Amino acid sequence: MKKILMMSAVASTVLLAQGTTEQSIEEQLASKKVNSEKASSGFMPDISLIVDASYNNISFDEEGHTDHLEIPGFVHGGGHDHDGHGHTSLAGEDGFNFNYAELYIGASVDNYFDLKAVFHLTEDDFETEEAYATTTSLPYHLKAKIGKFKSDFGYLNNKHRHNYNFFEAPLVYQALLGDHGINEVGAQLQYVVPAPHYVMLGLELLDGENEQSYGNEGFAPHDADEDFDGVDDTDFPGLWVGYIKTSLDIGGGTMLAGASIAKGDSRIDHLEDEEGPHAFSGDTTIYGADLVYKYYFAADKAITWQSEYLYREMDGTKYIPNAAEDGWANEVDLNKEQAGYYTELVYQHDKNWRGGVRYSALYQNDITANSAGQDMPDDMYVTSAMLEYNPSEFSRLRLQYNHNSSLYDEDGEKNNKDEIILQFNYAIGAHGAHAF
Amino acid sequence: MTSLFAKIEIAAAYPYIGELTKTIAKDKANVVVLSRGDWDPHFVVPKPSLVSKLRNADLLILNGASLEIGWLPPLIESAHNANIQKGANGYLELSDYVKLKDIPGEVDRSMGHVHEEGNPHFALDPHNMIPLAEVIMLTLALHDKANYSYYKKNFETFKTFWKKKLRSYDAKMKKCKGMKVVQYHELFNYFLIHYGIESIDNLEPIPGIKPNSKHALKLINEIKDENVKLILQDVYHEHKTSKFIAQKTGAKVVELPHDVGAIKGTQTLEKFFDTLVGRVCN
Repeated sequence: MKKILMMSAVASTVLLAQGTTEQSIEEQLASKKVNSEKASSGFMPDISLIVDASYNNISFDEEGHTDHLEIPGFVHGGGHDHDGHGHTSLAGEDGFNFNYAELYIGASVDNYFDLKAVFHLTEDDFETEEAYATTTSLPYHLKAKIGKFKSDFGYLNNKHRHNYNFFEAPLVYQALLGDHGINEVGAQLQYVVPAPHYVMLGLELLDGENEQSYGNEGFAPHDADEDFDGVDDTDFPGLWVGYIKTSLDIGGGTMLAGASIAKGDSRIDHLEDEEGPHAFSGDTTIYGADLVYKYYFAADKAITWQSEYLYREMDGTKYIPNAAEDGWANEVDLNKEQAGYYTELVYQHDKNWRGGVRYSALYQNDITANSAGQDMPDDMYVTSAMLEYNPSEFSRLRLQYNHNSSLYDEDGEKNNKDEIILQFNYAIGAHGAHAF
Repeated sequence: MTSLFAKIEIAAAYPYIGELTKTIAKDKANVVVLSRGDWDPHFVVPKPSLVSKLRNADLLILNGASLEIGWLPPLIESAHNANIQKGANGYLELSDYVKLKDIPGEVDRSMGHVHEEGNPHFALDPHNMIPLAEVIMLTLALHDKANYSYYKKNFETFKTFWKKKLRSYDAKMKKCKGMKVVQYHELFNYFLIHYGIESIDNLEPIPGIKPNSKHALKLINEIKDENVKLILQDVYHEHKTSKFIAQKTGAKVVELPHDVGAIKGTQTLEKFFDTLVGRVCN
């Protein structure tokens, strides 16, 4: 008994001794601190504002045929002449344009979460482009994101517009994913794999609002009775996205590669169209593959080759309303297998000068209606070249030329568009650094 | 906490931090350095391969004072590693332990790329090495209490050695007290201020903005008027402006390392400061 007591006494002395050294290390470290009070703005979130404007000079081969431009099988021009303006978005706006302002606010919530929001402002609209919380301390190298956010599908999709290497998203993104890409409400989980090089797996469950490929709201003809059996809304998740990304340092440069899939229900409602109103209900899957290689001659002198391939398969039913708009005149089995890509080469000469070229094409456009093959064009492309001058990290002037050979007029004739863009981009405030 | 035989995995933002850490930790840690000594410390390439190095780190040691703000935050975010998040035990910002100089009264972007907290290039003063080594030693000891005495012993050895170095640096630098220089960016201020060398102007008109001809003309006059002997050139900015100004004024351009490994023959902390001292004052 005595022995045991002795032992426990010895043990507790050892523990006590250890306890005091522990405390003293912490105390010693704390006593070395001289800047415990950080800059006064410590509790203010980071706030930044980006403003983008441009002067666009646009010309068409056939200037008289620009009211109903479309990318056949991909994007309708369909006479959306709501504001009495002759041009649709595919035709573009000549002259000075205020493209957008982007307001960013972000900060740590606490030890467990970061919160970020990006607001996309145009002349008349205030949109929440992103507003999400991410975890910072989940175990097992996991990270979760909840809210509205840009999906990490592909390479370009999660980038904001001011971070693009060119004025606009490439043709293949605009055609398959629209102006905002996959930008959805939902949840994301990502895992960094224990590997000697970077491997990341991600899964996202999303609402599926994307107007170009998915959509989640059901529809019925305008004047249909209440008991008319239209098409229902989709259930959550209307869209799920998965991807794997990896990176290797090879040949003095860095390669980043990824493969992505976006699979979901589609509810695409064009029943409001003046010409040929219709709607589509079905399933859509988009497969993406991306490859980026950057070679650095110095930290600010680099050449980047960036390419992405997208393949879309849509399968479902196209609904055409009858003349009275109280029922369907026709239901057609519709199947689309479409593919395109872009590839770009950008050379950064120093902190001020950058230049690059990009080619984007839609080369597969196989559509069947009730199993009958449709005669669709498959030779759409846009070629771009740009030169940038960045007076500082916070301002940019960009001159870009586009030759757009993807647009068709109402007679089904190709109408080439040439555009010269002088773009002005400015940023103020604290904006987080961009990822690779 | 690390188990008995496992090494501590440490990521160091810059080479000098890597050197200090290896000096204290020796074989008890694996140290990876995220950037290179010859790169602009403000603009390190955020390569995804760095993410895999951060993923497994028990400890991240950074310079701080916003020097890494342009490249490290997205890497930390992508690493999904709770150990090294800001505020966690494995996140050590050395700037917290150094009295910063050049703290601006009021900041505005029209002043260029200024650091609100003060000048972050404190590692250029050799007298800051012992206090920084001690902070690293204590942090290592917190992570690996079993080896506290080992780290402390290594620190004491370094301290004795470095004090000798400092005496030799101080002796050599004495004769250059009161010398006037210009530099490209306010990179060497801590070194210059410590040794009483006056930096009268920078080649950059304001921080982070390239030299222009108007400012170069002003500099040429200043250099002549004030009898400036040296133009301090770092390795990562263009060298044309300093050469041009040297031609017009007779001042000498001297290329200086700003970190371990920035130029040939500066692969250790000792050789780095030997070169710095030798080139500024000989």
